[in-house]
Amino acid sequence: MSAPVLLAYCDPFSAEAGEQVRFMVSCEGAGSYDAGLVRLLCCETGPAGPGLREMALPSSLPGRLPARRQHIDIGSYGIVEDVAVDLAKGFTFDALMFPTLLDGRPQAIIGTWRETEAKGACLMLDSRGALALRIGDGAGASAMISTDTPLRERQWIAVAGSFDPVREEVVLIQRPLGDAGFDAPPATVVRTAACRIGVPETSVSLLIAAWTAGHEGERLLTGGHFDGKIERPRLLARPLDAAGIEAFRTGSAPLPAEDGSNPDLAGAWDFSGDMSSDRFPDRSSRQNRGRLINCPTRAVTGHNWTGEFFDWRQAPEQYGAIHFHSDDLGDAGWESDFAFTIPDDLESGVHAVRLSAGTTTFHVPFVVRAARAAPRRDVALLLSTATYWAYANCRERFLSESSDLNQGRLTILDDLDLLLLERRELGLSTYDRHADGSGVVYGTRLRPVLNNRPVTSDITVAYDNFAADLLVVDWLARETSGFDVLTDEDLHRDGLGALSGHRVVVTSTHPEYASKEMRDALDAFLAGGGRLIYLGGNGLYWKIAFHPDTTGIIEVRRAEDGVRAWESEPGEAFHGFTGEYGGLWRRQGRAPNCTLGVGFIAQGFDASAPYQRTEASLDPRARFIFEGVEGSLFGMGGLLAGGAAGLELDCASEALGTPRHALTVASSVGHSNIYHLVPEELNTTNGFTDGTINPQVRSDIVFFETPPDGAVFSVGSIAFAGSLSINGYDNDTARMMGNVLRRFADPEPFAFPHEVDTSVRRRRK
Amino acid sequence: MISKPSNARGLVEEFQRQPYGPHSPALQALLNRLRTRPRRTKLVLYREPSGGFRLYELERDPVRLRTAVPEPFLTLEDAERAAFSIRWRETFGEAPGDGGRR
Repeated sequence: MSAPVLLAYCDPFSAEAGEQVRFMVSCEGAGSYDAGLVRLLCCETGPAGPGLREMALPSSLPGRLPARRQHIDIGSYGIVEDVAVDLAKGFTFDALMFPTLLDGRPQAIIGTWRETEAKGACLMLDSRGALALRIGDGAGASAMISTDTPLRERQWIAVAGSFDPVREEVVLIQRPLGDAGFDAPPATVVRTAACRIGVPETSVSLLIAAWTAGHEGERLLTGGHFDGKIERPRLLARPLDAAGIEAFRTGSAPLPAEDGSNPDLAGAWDFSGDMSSDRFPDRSSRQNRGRLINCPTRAVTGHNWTGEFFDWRQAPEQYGAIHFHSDDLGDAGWESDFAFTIPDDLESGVHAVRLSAGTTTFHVPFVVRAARAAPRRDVALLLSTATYWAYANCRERFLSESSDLNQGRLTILDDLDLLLLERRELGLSTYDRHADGSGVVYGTRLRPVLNNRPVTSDITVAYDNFAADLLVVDWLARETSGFDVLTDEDLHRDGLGALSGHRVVVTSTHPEYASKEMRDALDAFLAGGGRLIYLGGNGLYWKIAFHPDTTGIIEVRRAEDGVRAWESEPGEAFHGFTGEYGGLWRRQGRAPNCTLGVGFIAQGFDASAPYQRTEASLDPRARFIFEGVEGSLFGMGGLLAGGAAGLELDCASEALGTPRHALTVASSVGHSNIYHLVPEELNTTNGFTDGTINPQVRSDIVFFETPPDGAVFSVGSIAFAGSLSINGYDNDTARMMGNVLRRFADPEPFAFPHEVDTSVRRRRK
Repeated sequence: MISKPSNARGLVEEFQRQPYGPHSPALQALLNRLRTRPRRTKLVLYREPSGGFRLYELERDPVRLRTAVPEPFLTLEDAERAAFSIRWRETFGEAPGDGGRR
């Protein structure tokens, strides 16, 4: 008998005393499951480290709960409810489209089709990829009329289908748009066929890019998801013949396309409107707005994109399309099984509800942040939740054919990883590509996330960041009398207010993704005298946007360059959520170095390396850092590939914004051939990029003061936190970081060095 | 087709000694070619709940694990050595166990 399957998520991820966290659970293979509150203190490390440490806490959780299975309806679509139209009197659907995956599945374009009733009408692609109109009366009569001419992938095409009950006739037109290049031009196809089936519908829900497959309780279940772009879908409440359809499409007589006064125009939906939301406007007189489900990609180029504009705000008429995917997922939409109100006496920290059924356990992590009105502790840990959501349910790590080459090691997986691979409905990460090859732009936590757990298959890769961050939690618990925890979402929402009152902010191991609001808040914190310990690598690399309405969804556009799993399509580098340009912060004049003193330089995952102190480490300004540190070489051991400097590395660069007075007090040495320079460092390809030959491939540990009296200490390595606990925290790396944390928490101001001799900063000891 | 390097024995010994880098340029070049050789499945390590690792072939569609080496490994290094042997055998048609002398 197989073990029960537990999957769950919570919302919100971060809450303070008095606020409620809801838990959504699916449990298969058991009649009930148990739920208990734990405080997470360290991830599973094996015998070389502290090991899994979780403390059970008393709580008001209900204990044992009845099991039930909840499903995920994956695939994006648009829905327009209560469209008042009498389809029995005839109708015309029309749209522009750009199919991207013609793989033998029937796919919906626009319609009212309800699969279980075999009722309604739907303009669609049949299993051969040809335009078709499906009609059913719900009483046993149904038909599908097709042009029998398959469309081409990645070719814009105007499609329309009409049904005339008086003439008992269906008309279908597929007219290619644009330039086919040197391909043979596809032909326009017009198909007229007899059809004697009525469609008795008067008030309908219209779906775009999917059809109704059924219901689970109140929840709509959908099928026939379309992969590709759809633009300007319209519904006319009367049938047109072939000439009329052409006139409708071009906006010429007898039916102006966007004539709002035309009572027959039952809907003309404009996907360039309300771009930053889940809504889309109706330009017909009905003004019947639609809603998008499961985050199809917005701010994408339309059929008329000229290549002259790259910002959708400057030419919205060229961004009238939405890219739907059959594997989009924004919000699993599960019903809540129980809720937990954060009690006043529950300390800020990383917590989880630990679910168990038989031999199966599943942790649902969440953060208890300090109450906004409460006094703040000196030290705060900033958990990089934006990065967690970017990597959430990453499949690329397992399925990539090049991972052994990039990482110099085998991929490790466990039962939960296998479950992720088996369950397509758990969705993708922003490191994956959709089935049609396009990059996944949105990352969401509103679903079970299987790589956000304290016991993971491999903490030595940068995919399971949450587990590695628990190493920082363990260290802080030993070095402080208490610390607060907050998240990227808190920082984005509350800005500087999230950090005010803390003297020291410590980052997690891989805070790669940051919004403008997050960076502004960090910089304002430092400008106000705050101290920042950047205890990770590859931080503040990608600019992201948060969903303006739904907390828990981020947007990533992979523009220009960088270490990328995919690249944004031409003209699609601006975020839909905000209109901001996406890509690397470095390409926006705000490299990570400006805030952290270091920025991403190289990556590799086979073996981590030690650090060697530099001459600058002898500077009196750096004396506090190395008190009690005896060797010039440190960080030789570690839980993350055997050293302190590893996985992803950052180095100092004045050209990219490292302050001129910054001290590079140590640099890593001895990296392997698997470590290579990041692509943004290369203008011309060459063979001088790996860690055995290129001295740029290193991590720099940097210290600098910030005016008026703050400071930054950056380690520039994801693996660093894994070296702290070696030998029971009795090692030079831990001593150094203890020194830094104590000094940073000391209210004694840092004196800003107005006169600095910069000549010794980089020379090694 | 990849031809067996002339210093095969030395490269095998170097890898067996230290599966994770840094490696000599010749070994790294060989590893790059072995690791990019097309395979229908992907060699992966399965972390057993009780500890230890097993080397499997990951079939992608549908997702399924097929045993590559029946014996479990206690260290990642040993598993890497086993994967290296499999790739060597697939590429050169012989085992590297003797240091590549054949």
